[in-house]
Amino acid sequence: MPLPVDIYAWDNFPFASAVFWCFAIVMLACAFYVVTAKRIFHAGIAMIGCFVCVAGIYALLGAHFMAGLQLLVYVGAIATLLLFAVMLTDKMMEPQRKTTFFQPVLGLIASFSMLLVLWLTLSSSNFAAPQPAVLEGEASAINLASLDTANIGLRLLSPYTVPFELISVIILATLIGAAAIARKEDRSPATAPPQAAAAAVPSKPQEQ
Amino acid sequence: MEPICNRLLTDILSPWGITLPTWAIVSIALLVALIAIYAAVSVNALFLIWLERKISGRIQRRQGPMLCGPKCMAQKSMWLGGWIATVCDAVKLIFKEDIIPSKVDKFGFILAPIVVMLAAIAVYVPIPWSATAYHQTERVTFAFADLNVGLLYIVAVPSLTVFSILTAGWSSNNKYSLLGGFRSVVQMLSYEIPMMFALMGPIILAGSLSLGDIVKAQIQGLFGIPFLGWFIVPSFIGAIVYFICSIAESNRPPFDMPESEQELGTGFNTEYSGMRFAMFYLAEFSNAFVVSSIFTAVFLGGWSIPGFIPPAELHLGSLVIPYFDLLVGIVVFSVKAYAVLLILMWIRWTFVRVRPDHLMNFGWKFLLPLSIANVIICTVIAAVQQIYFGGLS
Repeated sequence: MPLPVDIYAWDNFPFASAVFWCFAIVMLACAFYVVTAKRIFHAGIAMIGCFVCVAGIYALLGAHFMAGLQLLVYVGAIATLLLFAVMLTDKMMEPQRKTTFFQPVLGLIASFSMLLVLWLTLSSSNFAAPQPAVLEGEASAINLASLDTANIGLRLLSPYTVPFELISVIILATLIGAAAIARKEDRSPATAPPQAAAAAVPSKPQEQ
Repeated sequence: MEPICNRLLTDILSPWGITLPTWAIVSIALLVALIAIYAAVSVNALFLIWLERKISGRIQRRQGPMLCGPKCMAQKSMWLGGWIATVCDAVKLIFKEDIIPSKVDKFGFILAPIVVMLAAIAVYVPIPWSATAYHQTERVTFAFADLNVGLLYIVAVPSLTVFSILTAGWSSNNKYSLLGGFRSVVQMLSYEIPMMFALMGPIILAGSLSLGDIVKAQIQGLFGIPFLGWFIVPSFIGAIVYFICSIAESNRPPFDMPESEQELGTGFNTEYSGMRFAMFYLAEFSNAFVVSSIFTAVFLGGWSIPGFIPPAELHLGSLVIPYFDLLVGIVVFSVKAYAVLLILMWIRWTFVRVRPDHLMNFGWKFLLPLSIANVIICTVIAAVQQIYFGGLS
C-alpha cells in the first residue's frame, strides 16, 4: 500500500516556498548584521544565525547530510571557536570599534570580486532537473539522490578515494603543525637561561 | 510519524465522510506534533525534576519534597509526598520579576535561553518512540520525523546549546559566568569527539544513520541469535563511552563544572532569574531525558522486546485494539529510557565533581582511544556477520 502522503516531496509540503523565503530573508538579514554590527560578538552571533539558515535551506532541498554537517562543523565547531577566540582577545564589553574609511572600501572590492566569481560560475552551470534517462546513465549529474548519505560514502570510497585521503593527510599535517606551534610556548620556561633557573633556587631560603 | 498521522487522521475522519486535501492533513499533523512535543517536553521535565529531588533525598537519607500537595498522600508513602512541588516551582518562576541586569549585553542575554530551549526541543525530532505495521506494508517508525541522518542530527543540534551557553556566559558581563561558559565549551567540544566515535560502532553495525533503521537492525539479531541483537552487546565499550560522554554533554554532575557552585556560583546562569533561568533548568532536564532515550534507541534496542514482536491488532474476544504494536512500543521505550535515566541520577548523587584537568585527560587520553578501539571491534563484528550470516540490513 503506498503511503498516503510524503511530506518530504516538494510538491506535497504545503509551505515549502514560504519556509524557503523565511530562511532566505533571515539569512540575508543576519549576513547584513554581521558586517554592520558594532560589537564583534554580535557579529559572531549573527553569523551563527546565517549558518543555521543555510543548514535549513539544505534540509529543505533534501540534502539532509549536508544540513547536519553544516550544523555540526560550522555552528558547533568553527563559529563557537571563533566566538571563543573573540572573547579571549577582545575586551569584554567594548561597545564600539573604530573603523577606518578604507576598510569598507576594501571590503566592498573583495565582496564584489567574490560575487563576480560566483556569478560567472553559477551562470555557466545548469540547474535544470536532470531527466530520469540521464540519471541512469554513467554521467549522472548532481541530483537529489546523489546527496544521499550512502551515496556520499560510496563516492568518497570509490571514485574520490585519492583526493579524500590527500585531504585527510593535509588535515593531519595541519593538526601536527598546530600542536608543534602550540608546544613551543610550553617549552620556553624549560629553555630559559640556566643562570635564571639557578638563581631562582637559592633565592627561596633568603625569602624565609 | 507522517504516514501514521495521516492514517490516524483518515481513520478518525472517514466515518464522518470528511476528506481533507493533502496540505490540510500535513498541516494538522505538523501542528499536532508541535503541540505534543512542547507539552511532552515541559511536563516530562517537571516530572523529572521532582523525581531527581526524590531520588537525591533517598540517596542522602532524606525524604525530599514532602510539604507541597495533599497531606494524606504524603502520609501514605514517601514517594507520593510533594508531587506538586515542581508545579509550584514553575508557577513561582513564571510570576517572578523578569530582571535584566543593567550592565548585561541585552541581545545575547535574551537570546541565549531561547536558543537553549529551542535546541532542547529540536533534539526530540528523530527519536524513534515506536513502530507500527497497522495499515502499512512494513513497520513504519513512529518518530516526529525519522530523518535519514537522525544520528548526525542528534549530535549536531546540541552544538546550538554550546553556543548559547557561551553567549549566556559572555553577555552576563560577569567573569564567573564567562568562566562557566568557557568551561562548558571546552568540555562539550572535547567530549563530542569520543561520543561520535562511540556512536560510529552502531552506525557500522546497522549500516544507517537513521535511528529507526538502527532499532530495526537490532531487532534482526546478531549471528542469527535474536537475543544478541542489542548493540550494547557487540559495541559494549561504545555504550559505556557514549554514556559517560552524554553525561558530559548534558552538563550533569559529575561533569557539571560549567555551573560548579563553590567556584563559580552556578557559572553561566548566575545572572539569570525567573522564567529565563527556568528555561535553562528545563532544558537541562529535557536534555538528560533525550540522552537516555538516544542510549535506549542506539544501544538498548529501542522499542523492541527480544524474541517478541507485538501484533498490529490485538483481539480480545470481540474487542479489537488497533495500533497495538505502537502502544506496546511506546511503553517499552519509555520504560527503558527511564531506567537509563535512573542510572544517570544515581551517578549524579554518588560521584563528586571532576576536576577540569582530570576531565580533559580522561576525555582525550582514555575515552578517545577506547572509542576508536570500539570502532575497530564493531567493524570486525559487522564483517563477520556480513560474510557468514548474510547482510545485516
